[in-house]
Amino acid sequence: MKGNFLRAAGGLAAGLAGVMAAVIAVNLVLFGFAVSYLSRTDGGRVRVSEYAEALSQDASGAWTMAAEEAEALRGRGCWAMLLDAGGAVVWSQDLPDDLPRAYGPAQVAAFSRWYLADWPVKVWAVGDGLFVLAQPRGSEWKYQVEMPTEQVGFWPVWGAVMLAANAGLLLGAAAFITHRAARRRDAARSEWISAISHDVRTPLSMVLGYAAALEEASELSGEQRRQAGLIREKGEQLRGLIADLNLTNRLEYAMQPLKREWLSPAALVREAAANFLNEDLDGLHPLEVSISPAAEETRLLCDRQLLGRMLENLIRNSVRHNPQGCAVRVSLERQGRRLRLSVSDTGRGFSGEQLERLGRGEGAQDEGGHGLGLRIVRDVARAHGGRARFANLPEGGGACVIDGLRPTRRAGRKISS
Amino acid sequence: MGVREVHQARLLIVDDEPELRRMLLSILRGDGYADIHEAATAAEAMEKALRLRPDAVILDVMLPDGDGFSLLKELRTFTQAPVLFLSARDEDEARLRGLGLGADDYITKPFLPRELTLRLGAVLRRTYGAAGEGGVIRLGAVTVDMETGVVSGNGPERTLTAKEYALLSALNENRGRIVTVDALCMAAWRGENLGYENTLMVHMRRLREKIEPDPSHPRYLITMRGLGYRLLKEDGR
Repeated sequence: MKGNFLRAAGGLAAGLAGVMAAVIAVNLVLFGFAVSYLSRTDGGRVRVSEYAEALSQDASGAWTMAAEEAEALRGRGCWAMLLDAGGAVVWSQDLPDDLPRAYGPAQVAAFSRWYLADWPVKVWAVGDGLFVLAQPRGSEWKYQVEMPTEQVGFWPVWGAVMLAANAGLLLGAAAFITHRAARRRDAARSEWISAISHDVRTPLSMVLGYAAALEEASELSGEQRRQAGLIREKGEQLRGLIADLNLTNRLEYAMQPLKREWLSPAALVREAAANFLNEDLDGLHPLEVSISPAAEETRLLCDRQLLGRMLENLIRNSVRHNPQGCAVRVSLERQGRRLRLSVSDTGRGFSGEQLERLGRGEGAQDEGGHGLGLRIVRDVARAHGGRARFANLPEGGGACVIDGLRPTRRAGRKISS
Repeated sequence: MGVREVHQARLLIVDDEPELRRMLLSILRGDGYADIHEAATAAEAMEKALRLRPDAVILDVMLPDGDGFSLLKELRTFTQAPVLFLSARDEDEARLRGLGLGADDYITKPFLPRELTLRLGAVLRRTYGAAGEGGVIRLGAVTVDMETGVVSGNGPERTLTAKEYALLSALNENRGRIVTVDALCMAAWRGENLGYENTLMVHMRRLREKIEPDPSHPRYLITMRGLGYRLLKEDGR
């Protein structure tokens, strides 16, 4: 059903928006944590250039480090040395005894990239020499990154694609869960309505049965019998409500598929009219049926129960609105390849508010009804490819015209009506 | 098993709710049935059906020890007695329609007593061919014996044709109510209503000539224009 689909799509969109908002919020919070953690731990970072610049050479060629920096290095548990162009240690501070006092190019190349005897070291050029600063073991992680230039552009793209793919998967999963939850909720609601109406039906049988019996009991007074008749009448209204509730349930949540069969719509109209006239005891609502010859020959693929209920609701609606009496007319005609069904009366018609509600696609609440009746008319028409319109006639009275019932075909040899 | 008069039929009510059984009992007694038995479970229903051989069974679709559908299957192994299902769920309706009920029928709760007795009477008449009092339809001075199809009291005795008989019994089953042309064609031509409407009119005219003293001003077999026909009751309703 279209309304159903739209509702499901709306639910899905709302679900997706919610999930995205949550993802963004969580990421922002995590990013904030990372920034604050990095800024807190960054204070311990050793800047090798500052210490290299603190070295100076006196006239004799001996190197010394400014006292402040030398103290700071010691405080951090670092040691440092200065190699000359030949690789010999020309100055050092706290250099471990087990380390060599001179280094070849291969050794320099190795420790400048990685570690010197597990000491993480940093280097800085000082003149033609090399300043080497070692931080405590295990305090620094070093890794060399190298790649062909053409690959450099690949990684950001790869990262973006992976992020998008993951986000897509995540959103898909979220949508699936939301959708399933909505379906489960619809199923639960539908089952609940079925269960309630089942539980109401048996007690209501008893109300109707005994009220009808009392209505005909000759030992009761006329007034008492009238009261019993009222109970019976209201019981029948409740019965109609349950039937409508079940049909709405069926149409709205599409729990039960339509049971379509090829039927004669003319026969359905006659059946509904006969059913009504057989029950209409006061005779205040004469019913006229007019079926064009082309419509007579048409067969409609439709659900018998639903179409019957639609016709019944339309006829009963006219009657309920016009307790003083009115003529009701049901007509069926062909419009090209489609069928038009209309039910009109000579009563007081719809109120402006009712027409507005019906136009908005809601039920029309009124004193005698629960508003589901005409909503069912609209939904049944739509389920059969038609459209129900409600209007007041210029000459007075209300009308419902259902256009576009489809598909139609000429009567075949065999029908099941 | 011939039931000359529907109210002589032996009935078996199967429903697990004692209060509903009591109400059904009072409705059916009020309608004139006297030979009525009850069962609360499928097992009890089988036992009573075997022992009492009811003419018709009123059967709730939902029973504590099984459903009415399987009970119907079991009943059918030894009896063709018609079954009138009682159902409290819309979902049953599809299954009930799908049964191809034949002589059987169903009614959805809640129902009015009149609806139940009408259905039951129709089911019994369909099965046993009884037609009202002693198989005779009374239309004022005219009587139609539905055993033989002989019409008397309207000039010389005449016999109904097969189609006239089928149409009259369909109308009589629903006496006082409108029977649509579609239902009448169904009764006389087994489902093919197409193109039979003119033929139907011809048969109805002939039927009127046999049962109505003044066929052009019928008193009992009334045309409901655009809908069908109605066989009025003796009291004119």
